[in-house]
Amino acid sequence: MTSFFQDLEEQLREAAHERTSSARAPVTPPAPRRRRWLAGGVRLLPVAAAIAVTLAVVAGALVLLGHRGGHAPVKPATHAPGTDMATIVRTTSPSQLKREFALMGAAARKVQASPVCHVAETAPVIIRTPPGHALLSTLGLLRRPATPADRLPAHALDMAGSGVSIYAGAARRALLGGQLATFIVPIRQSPKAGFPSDRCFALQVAAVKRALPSMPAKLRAPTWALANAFVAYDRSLAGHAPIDGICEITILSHNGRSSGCGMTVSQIRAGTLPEEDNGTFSGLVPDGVASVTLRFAASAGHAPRTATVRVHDNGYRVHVAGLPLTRASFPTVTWRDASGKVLRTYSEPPMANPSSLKQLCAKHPAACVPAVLASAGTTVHASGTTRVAPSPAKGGG
Amino acid sequence: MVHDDDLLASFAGGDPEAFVAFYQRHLRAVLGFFLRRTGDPELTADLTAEVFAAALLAAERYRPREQPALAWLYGIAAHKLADSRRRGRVEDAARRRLALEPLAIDDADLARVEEIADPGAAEAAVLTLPPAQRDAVLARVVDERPYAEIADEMQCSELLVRQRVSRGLRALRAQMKEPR
Repeated sequence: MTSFFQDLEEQLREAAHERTSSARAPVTPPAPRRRRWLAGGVRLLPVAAAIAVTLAVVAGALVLLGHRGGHAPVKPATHAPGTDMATIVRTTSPSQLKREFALMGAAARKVQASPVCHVAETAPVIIRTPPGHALLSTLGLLRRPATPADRLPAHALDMAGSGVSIYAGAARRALLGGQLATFIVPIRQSPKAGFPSDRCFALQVAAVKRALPSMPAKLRAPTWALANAFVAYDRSLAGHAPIDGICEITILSHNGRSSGCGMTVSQIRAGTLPEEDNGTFSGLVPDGVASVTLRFAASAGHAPRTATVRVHDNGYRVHVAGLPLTRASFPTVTWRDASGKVLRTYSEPPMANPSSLKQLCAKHPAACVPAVLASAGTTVHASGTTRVAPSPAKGGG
Repeated sequence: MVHDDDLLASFAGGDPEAFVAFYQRHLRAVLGFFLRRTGDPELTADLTAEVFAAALLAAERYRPREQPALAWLYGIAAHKLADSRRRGRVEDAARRRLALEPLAIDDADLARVEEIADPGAAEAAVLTLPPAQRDAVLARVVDERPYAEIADEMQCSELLVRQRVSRGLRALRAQMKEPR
């Protein structure tokens, strides 16, 4: 095994030891987690993207950025002090950004690992007020009276994450299908909870400043500008007002559950890509959508397929047999109202050309920045895995 | 060979190394599961890390049922993949909950992913089952579809589907040397 797998095994071993030892302890507070410098902007992508652009556009940008070979540098960047993050990422080549992030990360590593940069993982908080009008007026499911079936199973929201508040009693069970139950849980997300303290940011900037003399002369000024811009960017994300959204929690038949939190009202209204699980497609739609048609293009020996399903409780779930196992693309989704009138048709954004990234950055800086960060190589992916070396360009997942 | 269920039970009982053994045993299968579906070694490594973190969190509540533990692990993997596709990024909720540090992955690691990934030992075993059992197992265990729905599609009784799933899983356990 190589280092990645050794490291993963070692981390799992450590976590397993912590879990088993804490299970024996009478009371254990939530484990603090160490905050990485670059994780903030990317981790809060859903929040930022909700404000600026739909999830589909962000996904398209990330797919595009998988092909970083197509992203031509505009010009060698020498960011002036005070340049904002969006401008820096728009005008800097990915390779240079990668070098700058690497220098910045190396300089700040010790500070990141120090207690001052720990971000405590907090349990979800319960809100006693009803969800906001925007959410209630989008999903009729949430307006119906609660029934005993809407009661969430114990620990269902264990993995909701920090900064999430849950509207008490507002969860509703939807998409009933055999032993699978999906709950739609209204939440309020606070971006601030995922960020370290101002002192942590200040110490990291100071560490970068101290390291400047040891950096290549050409990269000192841009790295310094980047460090300051990044802190400003992270702080701007943390400053966003809390926003309503939902968690989707599916109770599985094998003791487990699948949960996804963070879908916002604007994303639901704009249309989200269906969740796909081995040929079963499910999704959430706003009020007024009576049926959903999924159209799959022909691919590698497989004929085109179309499936239409009626919407129930703002949701749909349909199994489409005979799709290729390794199918990479999602279907085109068409919403219709009760009279059959087409309300909206959308699909996964196509593999974009390099100019799409420029357009995205020009129109939606908040979505552009994390997308470019994800492509910069040394940055932390939303997933938490850090790339340290380039590899052949590939499409995103 | 210690049974998977016993490993998970040992972990739930306080033996952390039991989970490490579970990870070592199934790493290749999970890598293969993702590599086959994504064709992307980096994404595969990322998803695999998240799946084992999620499995670690869920293992304390794992209760042996009708399916092998590997099917339980595949269930987690399938949902992580579905979530990630829908969101356009790999989820990291489990790793964050466990306070795991981001992992570095270089080109050598990526090459290693392709080298060690098992292209689907369990899936290959499923394909050796008689067609009726194979289809029933796939529909029930992998797709997690209700028995009634499968019975309707196969135009047979629910009882017969249950029987086929049960026999198929028993045959798989035997193939995968999981004494039960």
